[in-house]
Amino acid sequence: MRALCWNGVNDLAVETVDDPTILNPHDVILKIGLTVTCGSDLHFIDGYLPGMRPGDVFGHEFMGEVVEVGSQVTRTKVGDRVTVPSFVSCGDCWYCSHDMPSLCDTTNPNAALQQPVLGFPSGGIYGYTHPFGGYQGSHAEYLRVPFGDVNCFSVPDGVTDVQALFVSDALATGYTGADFCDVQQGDTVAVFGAGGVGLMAAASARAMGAGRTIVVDRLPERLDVARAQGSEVLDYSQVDSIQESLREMTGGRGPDSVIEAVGMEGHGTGIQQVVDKAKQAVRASTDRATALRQALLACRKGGTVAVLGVYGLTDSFPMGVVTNKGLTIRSAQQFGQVYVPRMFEHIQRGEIDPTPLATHTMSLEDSVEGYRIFKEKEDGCIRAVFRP
Amino acid sequence: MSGPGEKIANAVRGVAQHVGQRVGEAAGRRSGSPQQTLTVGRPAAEVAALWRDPAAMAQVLGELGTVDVVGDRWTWHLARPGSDEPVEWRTTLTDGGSPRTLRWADPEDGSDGASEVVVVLRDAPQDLGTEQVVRLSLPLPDLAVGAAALGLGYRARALLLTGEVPTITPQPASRGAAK
Repeated sequence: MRALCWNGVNDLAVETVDDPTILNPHDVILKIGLTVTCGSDLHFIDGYLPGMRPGDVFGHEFMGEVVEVGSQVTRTKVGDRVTVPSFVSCGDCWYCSHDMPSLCDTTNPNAALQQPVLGFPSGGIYGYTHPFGGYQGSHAEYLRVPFGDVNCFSVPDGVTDVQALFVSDALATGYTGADFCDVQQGDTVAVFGAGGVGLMAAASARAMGAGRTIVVDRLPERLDVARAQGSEVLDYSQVDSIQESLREMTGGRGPDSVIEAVGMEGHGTGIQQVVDKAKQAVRASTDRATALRQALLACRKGGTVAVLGVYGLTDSFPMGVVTNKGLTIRSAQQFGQVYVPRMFEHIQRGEIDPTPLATHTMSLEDSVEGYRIFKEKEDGCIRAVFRP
Repeated sequence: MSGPGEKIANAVRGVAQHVGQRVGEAAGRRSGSPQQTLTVGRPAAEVAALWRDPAAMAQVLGELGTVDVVGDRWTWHLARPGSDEPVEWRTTLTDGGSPRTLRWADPEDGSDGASEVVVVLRDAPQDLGTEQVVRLSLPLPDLAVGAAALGLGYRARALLLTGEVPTITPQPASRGAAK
């Protein structure tokens, strides 16, 4: 089959690789319908996140059609149109049975690679480094999905392929962050980052009852999408201080919750950004945690900061801000399996629509160029969608 | 030659060795035997049954090796990193005690530091199942043994909870066909 491979830092190519096959009795083989770029891929494409090997097929956000099922798959059927959350859940371990599927205790074949870094291994993920399991990714014609009955969700009528695609990760991650904020009716939620996850976090917060969502970014075309979806916007490149601007926009109180959806290659302004970039460039730090620090400063006292951006080993973390403001920090890789049914209902009711994220659609054969456009944020690109 | 630098290095090595031994003793195990404890959401009897089942152990071992079982005699063929020749290791399984302890070792090798695989099973609190302690001393390089301790425990738990062992073999993320 054809697939997009990582061959080294900033070295991608579409190649012919082996087709996946059923390896375990709960496996399902999917014919990929749509698969999409994600900002978190850029971290290993740019060489900031280790653990990739030449030839790795990557990609973790996708939907498709079931074409083969293992001997112990009972609910999922050949022909089903399904979406699949990006983390692999077994459905049986303590974490999966306590609604934390990305923390699954059984699905990481390379647990020994990851435990030294995290203390405890996470669940596996498709196409996202070997410490995260070494599974084949979704930028391919076919994909093996372990525990098909747990991870494949049939797409209901009224939900398009594109909408189902983003249920797999961008919406699932944003929805997880909004849920972490325990949004109360009328709350104000600020979202840092107007990429796919940030836009979906804002939409999710509104669907959960937020009275106001304020999206912070610097790219006009992304802020336009946020505005069109019902958020107020703040272009941080046009203000002296994000923190002061948000405080003024909220009557001096500050947002009740802040969702950080930027991650380790964040941009910002001022001397701290210069220092962060210099440290990252010489590999003295894995992260530019600009957005994370700003999120902590901007949140009201006693508020909640949900961290969705992907980070490595962040230093210069202002713990004193957390303590002295009584902040609650919540973070996780998405808990998609918990939320998929609810997300579908929101989409069917018209409360959330991920469709505008798909600014560019192209063949898998053009995916190298797709990643370039996505990375450079050219032509208003929010996400480049590939059709194998 | 024994210069000041080497004396200091020897002293540091001695202290490190001593500390390592004391820490190992304090933890109730021999120094240098990698140990990994995982909680398995099943009763101890079920966990023990899996470790005693040769077919299950074949799955748990995976690329680490194979095992032939006749009665309580287990002959292991352990993969050696960087070599096509496996290490053969003949053992006998003993099972008992409180907490329940399964131990594979060569009964004729009474030397200090003899190879062994030890699995200790004790009840976990709050109805969480069983605390499964896997301790290895194997005729393999330390790094390989350390990774194997977690790998075996992790796979055993996965097999018990889900009926399968997570794998990407023979289908890793990397390419497998001609470019």
